[in-house]
Amino acid sequence: MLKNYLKLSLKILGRRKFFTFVSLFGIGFTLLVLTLAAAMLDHIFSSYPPETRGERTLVIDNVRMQGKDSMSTGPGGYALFDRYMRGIPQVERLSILSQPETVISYWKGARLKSLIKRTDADFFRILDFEFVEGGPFGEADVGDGRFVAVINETTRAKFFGGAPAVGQAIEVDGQTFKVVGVVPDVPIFRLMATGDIYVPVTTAKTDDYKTRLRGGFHALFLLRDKEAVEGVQQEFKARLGKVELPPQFDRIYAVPETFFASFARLFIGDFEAEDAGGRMMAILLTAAALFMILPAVNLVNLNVSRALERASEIGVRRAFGASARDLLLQFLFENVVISVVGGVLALASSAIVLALFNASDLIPYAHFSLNWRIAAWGFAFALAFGVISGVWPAWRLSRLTPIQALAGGVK
Amino acid sequence: MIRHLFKLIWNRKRANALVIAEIFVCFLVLFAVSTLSLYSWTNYHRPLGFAYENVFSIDVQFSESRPEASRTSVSGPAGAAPAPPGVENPHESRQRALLAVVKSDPAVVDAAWASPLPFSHSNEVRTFAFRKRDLSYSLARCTDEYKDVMGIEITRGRWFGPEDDGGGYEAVVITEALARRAFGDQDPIGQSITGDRDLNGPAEIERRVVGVMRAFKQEGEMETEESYVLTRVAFSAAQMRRIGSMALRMKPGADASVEARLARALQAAAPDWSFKVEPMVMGAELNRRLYMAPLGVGALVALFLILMVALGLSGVLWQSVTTRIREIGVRRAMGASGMDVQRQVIGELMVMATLAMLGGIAVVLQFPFLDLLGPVPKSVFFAGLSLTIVGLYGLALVCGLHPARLATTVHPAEALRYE
Repeated sequence: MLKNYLKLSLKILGRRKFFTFVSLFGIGFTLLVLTLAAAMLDHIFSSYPPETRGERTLVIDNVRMQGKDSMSTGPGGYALFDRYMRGIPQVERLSILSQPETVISYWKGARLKSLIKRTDADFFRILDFEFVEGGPFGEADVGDGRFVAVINETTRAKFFGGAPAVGQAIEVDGQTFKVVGVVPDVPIFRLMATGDIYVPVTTAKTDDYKTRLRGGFHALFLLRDKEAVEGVQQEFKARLGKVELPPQFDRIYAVPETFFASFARLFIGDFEAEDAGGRMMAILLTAAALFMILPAVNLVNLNVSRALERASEIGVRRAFGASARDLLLQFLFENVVISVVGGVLALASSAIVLALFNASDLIPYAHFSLNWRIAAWGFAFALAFGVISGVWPAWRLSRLTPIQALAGGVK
Repeated sequence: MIRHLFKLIWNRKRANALVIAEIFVCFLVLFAVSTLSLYSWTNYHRPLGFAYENVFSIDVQFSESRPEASRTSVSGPAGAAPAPPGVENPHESRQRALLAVVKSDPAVVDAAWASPLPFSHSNEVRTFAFRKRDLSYSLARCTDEYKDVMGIEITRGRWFGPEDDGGGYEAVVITEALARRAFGDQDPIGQSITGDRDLNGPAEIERRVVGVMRAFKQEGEMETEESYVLTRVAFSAAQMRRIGSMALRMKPGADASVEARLARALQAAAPDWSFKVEPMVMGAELNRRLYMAPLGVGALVALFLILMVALGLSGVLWQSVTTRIREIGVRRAMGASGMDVQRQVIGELMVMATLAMLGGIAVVLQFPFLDLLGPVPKSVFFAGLSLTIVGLYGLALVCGLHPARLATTVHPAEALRYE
């Protein structure tokens, strides 16, 4: 049965080239945009190396302190995590890492701009960097404030022209570091892991950061197992209650959660939201649906206006006893098939667009690619689009009476 | 003629309702695109208000380990510890000394402390009741040299200077747009732009307008904020330590080696502070990219959407011409010329486009009525609307042309034999 429908719909695809082209162009383009959006969001929020322990890792991206007259939102402070959040039972490791910060080096007459991340030894245990050269710095390096650095491949190329860098010295922001390891580039939008130069937090020019509750730092929690999320969040909340706040503030909000949920919290602006991630997802899907409206109306129009082509076929099928429901399903199925064909085209062309985008270097270190998750999203979009744009024409066609249909359609 | 067209459209109301719906949605998309691009275009061509070529910016990070510097409040006023009036804290003396360090460099023409600097992506917005109306502006603080460093053009009054010392007020220079919004036709010079006195709150220091500048688009050409205030800060003021950046007017040709020299000199003078020297053109270039990339992507997507609609509409019309081949045949047989038939097809489409647009206009007119325009001026809104109407008629015409021509080729005898 379905096989017949499939045969039929492919046959119809080949029947009138202009209309097939217009339909496929519309469907393909719509799905291309949605697939590209899905691919980019996936690369920003899903697990990619070196963040390979995604389901066991929670982050704290932003913190909000609130008082009667003032409010302060942004990255957390080192003291908040170091003083209050160490030793949560279900947490295997905690890393405190600074926001990537721009620093400038003057190197052999050239000006080099890099992003520096100041962090600790556990950073390299929570994240799974595949070292190209050398290795991470350890607890002793951080404890003694040794001037050692892990750099990425692009930085190695900029400073040393790609020659081995371990053991060499680099000068950054007036400080000199000895390179101990080289890691692959991490895209700039992977806020937790990205950086050109990673150095021990203790090499900062002053100790100011050690006393601050807000500003400059994120935290990464590696849980013992992924079931522990709620327990950790509760313990975290309880500990927030004990934080000694500056006088102008009386409350502090922060939740260890996935990077997506944490981004959603900031986007929605509600730091007490129960399910920020879910709400963000709803917003994104609504945006996708809104984007589909115009292409869907376009396709509906085209399909309805082509009703006449199928009139005799419908008449015959009805005369031989097919129910309106049979026909409805058949036409809906046909539309879904053509949408899926469009979806496949979209997936193929999105690979090309992403490759061009990667080559354009518009976003540093971005290497967007396709994977089964993105393909699944593309397929879901194609199904949704096929159903949305197919229901009305299919219903119209299925309602033709045999006589009308055999006589050549309806006005 | 028009009434007849309406009748014809009504006769095929189901199919036509869909076409009208499509044109309606297309109208909304086209309207959004044309208004936004028109807005960006007019905004781009407003004067910038300063010149950033040959200017270096230096971002300074202070260490705050000294006990009196408790700086946690972000939105509260004057978070710094008060110093006795006229007496400089060590922190401020250091800032003064660093300014002397950079000014002594042979490549530097002039230098000022100022924050936030152009292209710094940070701003301080004040919203308050002013003469019983809401007023808001972005604010930057700077020392007296800032005018010459940035090449700010004063159109009324004067720039602030040492004559404003100890007057018990803060001297400010405001943009023309803000002067218009706050004072209307009155002369802004000498007026105070402090918020209405809140009886419960602490007394605010008076901000007195001493001059008006042409404009100051902080984030560059695409900046939308027009209300901008530059506030004078003296080295003795408690506010001084909140200023974490310098702007330097350079002699032409200053390159990376000059940057390195400046950074080294500053680092030597204040080893526990951090300095980041950067030519301002780099920030301007980055901003241009940041603003243009989403605009470009949006425009490209919209272009494809409209192309898709155009193809779709042509297809639908083509199909409808083939459906109505007998009707056209009858008209030809009764003596209508090919031109008449073409006029009918296009006329019907235009009537449908008009109907769709009336709906669309009714929807978008809600924006000015409900005050939802945001920063978009009414003139731009209506210009965008007119552009959309013209554009959509043009689009409909282009879509209708080919099917209409097809209709004229129908031969009466052939058409009537059809089936």
